[in-house]
Amino acid sequence: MPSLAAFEDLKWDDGLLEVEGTVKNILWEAEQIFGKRHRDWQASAIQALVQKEDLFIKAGTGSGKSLVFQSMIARRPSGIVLVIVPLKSLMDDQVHLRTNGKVMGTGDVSRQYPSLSGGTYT
Amino acid sequence: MFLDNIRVSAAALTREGVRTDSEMWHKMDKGEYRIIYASPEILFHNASHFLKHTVIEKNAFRERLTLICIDEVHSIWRNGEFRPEFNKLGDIRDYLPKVPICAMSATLPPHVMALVQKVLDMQRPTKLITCPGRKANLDILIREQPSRTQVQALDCLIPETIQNIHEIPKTLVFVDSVRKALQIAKRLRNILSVRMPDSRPARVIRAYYSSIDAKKKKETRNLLENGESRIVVCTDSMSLGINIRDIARVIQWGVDEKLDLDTLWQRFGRAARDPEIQGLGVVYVPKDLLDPVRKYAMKDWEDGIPQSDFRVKDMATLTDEYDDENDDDGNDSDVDGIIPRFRNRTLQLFSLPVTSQTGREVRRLRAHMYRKAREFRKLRQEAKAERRIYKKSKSTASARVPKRKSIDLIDPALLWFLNTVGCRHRCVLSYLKYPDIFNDAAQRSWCCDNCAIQKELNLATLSTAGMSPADSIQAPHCSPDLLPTMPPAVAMPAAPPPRRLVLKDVLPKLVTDLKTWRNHLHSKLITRGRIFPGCPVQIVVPDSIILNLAKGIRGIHTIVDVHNSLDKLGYDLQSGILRDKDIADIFVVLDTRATLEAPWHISSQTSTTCSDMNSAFDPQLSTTTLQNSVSMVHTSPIESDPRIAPVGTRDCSDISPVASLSHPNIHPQAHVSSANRPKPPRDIPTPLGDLNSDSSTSTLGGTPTTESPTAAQLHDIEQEKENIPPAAMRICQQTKRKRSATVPVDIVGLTNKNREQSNKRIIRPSFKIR
Repeated sequence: MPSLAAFEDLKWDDGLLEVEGTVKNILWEAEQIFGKRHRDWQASAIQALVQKEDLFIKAGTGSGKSLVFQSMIARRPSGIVLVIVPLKSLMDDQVHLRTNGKVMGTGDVSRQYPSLSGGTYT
Repeated sequence: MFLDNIRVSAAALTREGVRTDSEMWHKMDKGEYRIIYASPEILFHNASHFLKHTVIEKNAFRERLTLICIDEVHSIWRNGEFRPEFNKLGDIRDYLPKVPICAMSATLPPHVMALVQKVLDMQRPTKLITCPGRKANLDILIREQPSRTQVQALDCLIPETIQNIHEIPKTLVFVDSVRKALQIAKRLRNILSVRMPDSRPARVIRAYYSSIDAKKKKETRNLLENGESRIVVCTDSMSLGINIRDIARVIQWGVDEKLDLDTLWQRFGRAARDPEIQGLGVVYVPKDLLDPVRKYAMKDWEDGIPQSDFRVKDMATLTDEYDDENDDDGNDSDVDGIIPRFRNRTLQLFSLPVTSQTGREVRRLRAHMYRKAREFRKLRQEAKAERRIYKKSKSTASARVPKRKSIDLIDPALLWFLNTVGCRHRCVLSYLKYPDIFNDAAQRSWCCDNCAIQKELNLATLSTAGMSPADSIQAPHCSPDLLPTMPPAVAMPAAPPPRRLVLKDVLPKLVTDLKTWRNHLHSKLITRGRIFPGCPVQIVVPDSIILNLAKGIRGIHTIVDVHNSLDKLGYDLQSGILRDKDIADIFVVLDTRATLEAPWHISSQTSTTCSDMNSAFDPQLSTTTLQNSVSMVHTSPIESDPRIAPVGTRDCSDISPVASLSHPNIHPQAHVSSANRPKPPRDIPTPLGDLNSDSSTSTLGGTPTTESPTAAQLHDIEQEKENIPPAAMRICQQTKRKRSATVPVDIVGLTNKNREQSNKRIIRPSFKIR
């Protein structure tokens, strides 16, 4: 497993090739984890985010916004994503959706999702 | 490569969660959670762990954080006021400068985007990714809210003959206050217990608002999810982030200044999350939000040019009028200016439809809305500060809130959405700047009430989630298109009085006309191969029938009358050669001639009305409209082969909605039940009663009584005829007939004024681009 430092030193802005490689990696990995194919706009969103650009996404509920930020955990080995949501009920839904293993398609991986300790919300 | 090692765990940071598991923060710092959901409050309250430790100390979380994602980011626009933590969101940029921020929402009009960009200190220019925004499985319906306090209008949520609670579509009812939520829930429970005694109303109908306890909230959500509860009456706390996929109906009860189009669209976004089901969004609107716009729009369209320039002309008179009314309230002048309102709005513009022709107008209106929304937010913040001061100084009188016309307070975009005469989906998409505005074809069902009316669909037969576009506020009073859909019980009009014609003059002309038409049809039928070339003309319609039909002209007002006359005269409609379309043609031939030959002057009363109407709209314009609609009758498609279907059950709905534009007396219902049609009462008091009292009221193709006016009268008539152009004459005839039809229609609540308005609706020109 590559060390964190190696990733820190990488300059993503150096060339598009590198970025494209990263994006492909992320897409592939995210597909393995979540079992969903990315749509074009999701891929381009991820590309922008990999380039450390801020981004607006204007999309209705159910159009696959979540997959964008979920995929970003594959940006680095064990990357972290902070999602700020105005309402608790939404978080609750999202967390449960995640931990039910419904979204996490591929069998082996989904078993590793721990049921949440902090999962009792209202 | 490192999939084997991957452990994705997600956590939601909430106050309760942190309290029960004190280690949560530390686990987060150590990077044990890969996806962390958090509310702004938990991150940014004053003594939060996040601000004090996480973002300052060196830890795994900071090193490995790849993205900050802010969902439902439009909340910053509205919630900044009562959830101050939202405004602190921007601080996150200072603490974590290298991490990209992704702001997501379904409703991001430019002004909201600009504010978000500013608050979050995002890099400029910021990239924007827009997905198609059309909700293809959502229909929109605007209904009338009779009054804010009477919630009886919502009784229809529960079907009258309910056997099983699952007959109620899953419904969210959004209201603006807890009290209203409880009131509505109570009412609906009562209704349910009456209509279905063995149900459990308290379980089926729930109330949901922010101050009920957490356990109950969760119970409600679970019940709704598994289908045990069918209607949830809720405040705004439900509108974001509820992820129940099979909600079929979302209802907005009432419209006030706190609601804007973004919020409304978010709420509608809860409906039909599952693409497989068809959802319905309903807004209950008080009438005073629609009538002024309609009134001014009508006035404006009279000139044929919509007033589009905000800078040149404002509605000064309107504002003055309102100011006067407000001053009458007396004490309110003390607190004047505390609640801001929109001034000088060109109200008529809010009826603008979004079409390919009105692009420029819409763009200007949209720009105006964004500007106003920004100004208004500022004003509201100032007003709030002002009110706070005011409350401190004058705490006794502060309870009094100035009364305002609600239309002055309402968000312009919402006003436009409610008042547009075009498609409401387009309106929202245009306001939110989505790319697929004109992709109407994607809509699965009738789209919105305006679309259903304009496409001349049979409204009564359409229904989504238990409601039909026939319930629309647009449908009943102002749209002439409604006529075919009125419930037969109310809509059966008494027969109009017979035409005033000098039969011996008209008869030869009518016969000639009909014969010309017959020859035309004859040759057409030969070219189509339906009859042999050698067949005589008589085979189409015999001469005797033509003569008798012409004799019955005074009783013929609608296509149905022609149909009945033919039937009475012994023409075999079942196997004869005439189709519904041809019968419509006969009617047009007869009607045109009769209108042309009709004596102009009848009485002083009618003539003044006629001249009024004449000055009110451009006769030329109306004539073209009428002719258009007539020509549409010719070209309207006939779906099934009418030769196969027996005539009695033949559906002539393909003709009548169009024809009804010019002939308000045509009713499919009347057609269907024409056999059982009751004889009109003989002495109906009509405004025209004095002029018609001499003639018989029988209309159904009986032998007409030949009465000729006196020579002097005829002379008058002739003179009048010369003075008036035939086009105007035709209009007046139309008007006259409409007027006479208003008597029975009054039952349905159509006043003459409304009728005039609906007349004007017909001649409404398409928007011109200047």
